[in-house]
Amino acid sequence: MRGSGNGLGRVRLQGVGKRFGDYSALEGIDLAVNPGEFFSLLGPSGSGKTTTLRIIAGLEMPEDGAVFLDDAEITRLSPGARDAAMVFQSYALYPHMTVARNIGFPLRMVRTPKAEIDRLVRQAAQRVSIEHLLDRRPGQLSGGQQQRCALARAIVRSPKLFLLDEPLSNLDARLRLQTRTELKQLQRTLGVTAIYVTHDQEEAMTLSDRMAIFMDGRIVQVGTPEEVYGRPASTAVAGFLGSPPMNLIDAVLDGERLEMPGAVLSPPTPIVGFRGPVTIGVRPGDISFVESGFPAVVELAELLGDSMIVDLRLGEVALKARLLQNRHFGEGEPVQIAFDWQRIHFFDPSGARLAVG
Amino acid sequence: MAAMLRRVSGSALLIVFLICWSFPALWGAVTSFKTERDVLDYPPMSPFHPTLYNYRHILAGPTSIVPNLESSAILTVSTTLITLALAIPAAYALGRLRVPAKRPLGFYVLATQMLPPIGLVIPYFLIFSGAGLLNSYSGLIVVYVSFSLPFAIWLLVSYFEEIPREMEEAALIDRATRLKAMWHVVLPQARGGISVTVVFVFLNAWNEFLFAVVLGGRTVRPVTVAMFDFISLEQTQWGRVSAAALIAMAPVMLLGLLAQKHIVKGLTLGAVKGSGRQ
Amino acid sequence: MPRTALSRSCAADGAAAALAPAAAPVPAPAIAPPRDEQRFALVLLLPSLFVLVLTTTVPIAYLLWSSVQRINPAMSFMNGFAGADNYIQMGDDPRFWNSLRLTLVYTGSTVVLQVVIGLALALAIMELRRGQWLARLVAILPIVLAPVVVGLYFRTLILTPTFGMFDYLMVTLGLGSHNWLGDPQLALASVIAIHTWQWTPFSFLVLLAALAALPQDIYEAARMDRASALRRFWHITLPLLRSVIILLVILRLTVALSAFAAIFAATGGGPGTATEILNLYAYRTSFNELQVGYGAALAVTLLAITLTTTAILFRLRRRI
Repeated sequence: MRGSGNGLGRVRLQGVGKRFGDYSALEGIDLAVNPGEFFSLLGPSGSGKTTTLRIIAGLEMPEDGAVFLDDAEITRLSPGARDAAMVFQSYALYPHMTVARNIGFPLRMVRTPKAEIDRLVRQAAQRVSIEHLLDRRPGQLSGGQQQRCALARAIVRSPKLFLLDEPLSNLDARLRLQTRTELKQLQRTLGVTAIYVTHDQEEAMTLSDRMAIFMDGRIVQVGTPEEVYGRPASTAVAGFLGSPPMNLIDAVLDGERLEMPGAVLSPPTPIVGFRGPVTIGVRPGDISFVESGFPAVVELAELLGDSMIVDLRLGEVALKARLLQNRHFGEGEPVQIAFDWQRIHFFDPSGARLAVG
Repeated sequence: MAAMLRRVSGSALLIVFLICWSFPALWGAVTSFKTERDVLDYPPMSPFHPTLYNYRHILAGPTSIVPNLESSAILTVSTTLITLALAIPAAYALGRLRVPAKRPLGFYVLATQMLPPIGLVIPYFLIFSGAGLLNSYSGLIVVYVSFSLPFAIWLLVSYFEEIPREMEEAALIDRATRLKAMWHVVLPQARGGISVTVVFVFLNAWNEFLFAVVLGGRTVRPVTVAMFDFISLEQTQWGRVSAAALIAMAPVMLLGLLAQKHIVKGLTLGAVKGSGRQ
Repeated sequence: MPRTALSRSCAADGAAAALAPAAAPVPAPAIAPPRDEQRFALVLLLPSLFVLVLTTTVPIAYLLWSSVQRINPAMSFMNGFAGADNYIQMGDDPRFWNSLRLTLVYTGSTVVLQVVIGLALALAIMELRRGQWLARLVAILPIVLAPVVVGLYFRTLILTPTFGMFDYLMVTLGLGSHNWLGDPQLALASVIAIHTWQWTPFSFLVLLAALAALPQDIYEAARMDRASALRRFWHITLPLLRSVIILLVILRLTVALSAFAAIFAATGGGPGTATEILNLYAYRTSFNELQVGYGAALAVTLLAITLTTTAILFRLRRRI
């Protein structure tokens, strides 16, 4: 069999397309994942991210395009021949085998000697802290333990590539956070390329070195978390990342004036490069409360403990603002707000990002 | 590729399966429309003129099987009704109520199902000949119920167990008596299971042979026994044999066709239920 | 429980216990079921139990008693207590041992064939999306037919030398015409084939449903884990099907042990005793030769064999 993880693990997708009957699930997918990267495929349900992962795994065959692993084309190769390990959303543990046999299964399939299997299984189990469960069956494990078992089964064979399909989505919130950190550390330690599918943008943001945003079967942006968060390529991406999501306001830009429904704002410096209808994006964290600014009205204030989310109305526009301290607001209270003009985003009517300044 | 090879061999196997298992019935249907001369044509696949002669003979002729159909109908319908009247309450009790000694009772019911019929036919023959019950409907119906009942109970218990416990509890809280709770609330839910059981009891009763041939006689003579007589009397008259077989098996074939889903469900539930028991 | 009119009309001691504030917060009493539930259950059960005991246990007892008698309806002056004579006679009876051997071969062959062929068919047809409904339809027909009709049918239209369809097929394939049911060498194989033909669809349907109920994601995991199709079958499918297969074997075994009508119609137990399995021997002894006592003893032996094998198989199943 192939190398034991000290191959590079560089993945490349070129023009990949996938159709199910009349339905086009993926179109024109181009992707490049660097060796050792933690790369997320992020997007809403049905956006094609899981299909892409399954094509990389070999569980689906694309109609168009090609898949490369370390410059060798693997598009039509069977899953077992790709030296990629996968963690399934449902874990897919073999119900009739013990944890030890589950983890050792991929090694048995390539006729690894028994002593070697025992050693590697123990090692993998230790890495994810389940060595005390080796004689149990999956049915006797908790959700978190099952997840670790699935993880151990993936790492035991030192693959070139880890593929993870929403592995944390079946865990409860607290366990999810804890496992997230462990997952990141594990990947760093092992140094193996990981491709991770999720619909949870917070997960993608915290875990990834880089990510690709999927919408309706296409990739709309690729970049580091900072890039996609700070410079979203479209209103769709902008609205997807961040919680609460970015405030998107339809306005008309006219040099010194920004006309919004019910309000007219004047930026500190004139905005050049575009004229006409735009969508402006303001993150809730980029709205501040000042002594003198734009007049707005508080509609609702939600206390989260360490921060607040305030629903405002500016003219006829509804906005959400995030405050990092607690302040008492009355319903209907008039306030003055200001935007951080350095961090406002502009999008053209089709939703694409505008470079204005 | 491996996947394509599997699909091709799968289709090939399917075709072999379809031919092998449907051919006899189709061949029988075709043969029933042949005259006795055409039947012995060689090679057997030569073209022929279809005729209804055989059907006329076995339905209206001197050896008509119509009285046999009546006999079968009386036996089967009575058995089905009586069996269900007994089995439904029993299965309800075993499946949903807390019965003392439930486990041994369950085993007992299961064990009675496993008795080879020959072991029952001999004593029944002795008892009935002594009591003058040979060739009587009441005698034979009792025997038919004896082998239908354990099976019906076993089948129904699994269906009754599936209905959530809270049903009775809710009914009892709504001031129903236990009887009313059973009748108005639980039984309607078990309709599917009851249908499956009816189908199987009917099938087994209609197709029964050994008990009928030993304990029946001139009056009580279901179609299965009539078919058997063909061997001695009209064995070589294949046209009539096929026509008779088709008519005799028409009710169960129709039932099989209509109740397909029920039958499959009944078969597989036995397998699934069994695995859940341990 | 206060015997007020209200509680009596409620008859819901369970509900009353739940409503009474002083009662323990457990809905069902842990010690014993409430009296009226027990009474109700017995009322429902007793008719069936009565019928069962009367119609099965009593006859079996009578069978056991008959097996230690000499009973001959035609020569009733010969009747009387025989002690263990019938069983001793059985031990020395070559025809008995022949029937035992035939039963073993018959039952073993048909059960193994049914399960193996049924499994192969189920595995193959599982993969197909389109043919399944047709396969299910075709599978129903042999199962609903009366075995006596099937036996008769094979005897006439299918296996008759020269004119039967199967014989014609064999001639066409160059394997020659044979007397499939009349030749002592072939008769056993033929009746095994008839029984297998009728009941393989049963195994097929059960196994198809069992296969469909298996979780599918573990197969994808196995493909990722580099397991070939054969190894997926061996390491995943078979172990998960073990329980169903054993139950299937139990069911088919009891049917094969007591199979009567098809063989009787096809060969009557012959030629000679070539297909005379134990229950056919018991039948012939009792109703053709009118040695009912000995026939009863033979039937008791068959009963013992059936109960023992099923008990062993059930215990095997529990261990898995």
